[in-house]
Amino acid sequence: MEDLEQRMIDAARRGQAEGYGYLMTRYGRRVHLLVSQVIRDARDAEEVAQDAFVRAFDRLEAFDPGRGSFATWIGRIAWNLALNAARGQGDKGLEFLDNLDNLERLDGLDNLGNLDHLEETERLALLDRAIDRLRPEERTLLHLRYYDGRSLQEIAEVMQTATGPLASRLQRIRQKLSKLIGL
Amino acid sequence: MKETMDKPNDGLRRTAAGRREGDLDDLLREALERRAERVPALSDDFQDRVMARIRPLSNSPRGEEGRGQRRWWMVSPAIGVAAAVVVGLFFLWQEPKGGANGFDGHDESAARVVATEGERPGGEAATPAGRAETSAGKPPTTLPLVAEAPAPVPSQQGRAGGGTPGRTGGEPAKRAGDGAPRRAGGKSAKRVGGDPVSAASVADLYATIDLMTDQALRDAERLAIETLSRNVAADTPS
Repeated sequence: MEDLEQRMIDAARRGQAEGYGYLMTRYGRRVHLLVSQVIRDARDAEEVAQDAFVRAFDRLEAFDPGRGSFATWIGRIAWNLALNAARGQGDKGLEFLDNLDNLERLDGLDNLGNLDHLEETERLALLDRAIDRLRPEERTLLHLRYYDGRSLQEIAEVMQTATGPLASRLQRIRQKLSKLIGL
Repeated sequence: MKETMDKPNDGLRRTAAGRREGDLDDLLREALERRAERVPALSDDFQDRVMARIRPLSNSPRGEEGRGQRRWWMVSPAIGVAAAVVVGLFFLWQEPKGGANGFDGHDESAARVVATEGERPGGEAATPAGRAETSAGKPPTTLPLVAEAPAPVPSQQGRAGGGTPGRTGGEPAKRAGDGAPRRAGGKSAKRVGGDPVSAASVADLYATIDLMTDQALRDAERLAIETLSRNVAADTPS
């Protein structure tokens, strides 16, 4: 598979449409989902994903498979573009969970009472609402870790940060979310 | 259940903690998968729109194909210039020749023979072997021929392909492929000005132009073949 991907990258470097088409087919959805962790509007997120592929093609000569996978490389491009786009859009009044201790302030969470007996579906709904209120970086961290199944090293490369602080942050988010859903 | 797990038993507590960790992981995966499902799929024309935007880029210097295309645009003028030089030379040779001097080519060696051999009273001259025989024949009238040329320029002697330097007698030159008359009716070459050095220089000039033209055409052809080969190789699935 990696061989095929490398051949497609080489073909794309030569400007062959089918080579880049393969890469877009393989990674388009993943890039879109990554961007969606930062840009909430699906249309806007798609535009940014599109920008990411255009930018990646423009810089394809600089991609070095010896330094990381194409998925990580284009993920980093998409992440940067998404952050820039989000800064341009502003937060649109969204309330982030700066302090996860205040999760109870979320609508309805303070009336849940004993969380021990929550059904899984209720826990999932609760978790979903909490994830929604995380900062984009935290949401992206969870997404890359639990949905994409990336290693901390890969996530650090995408988000351009060190693995140490990333691991601490992930642990902190997990503890708070665990407390929130009564686990 | 939870109370059971939270009893002050270290082993049990660790197990419970581990289970809770696992549960949280599972819940997070599930929650994130559901969130992903809510994100609409990419538009059908997503790839088309990306390709439409990157096509112009592919013609830029950064795109490999762009570079290939530029090479072709660079090669074409080179071919044009080379062809123009060839055509120009052809007419340059043809104009004074008038088709009556018996030369059928413009090989460097033949030109030098004309420039150095001078008059041949016997009206018969040898034709240099091989290539000279078929391609020789720059019209002598276009060169500042020297009837009594003493000797070829030493550096040209090895390439001249024939001719006995400085021969002024009536004997035909003898070489491989000897015997073919180079000038119909034994018409003598006349001295029309210049000196031996300039005659040789002109011959050298023509020869150099020929070589440059040939080289340019060979380079253009080689580049075209390389580019096509690369494209074919790239298109061929391995």
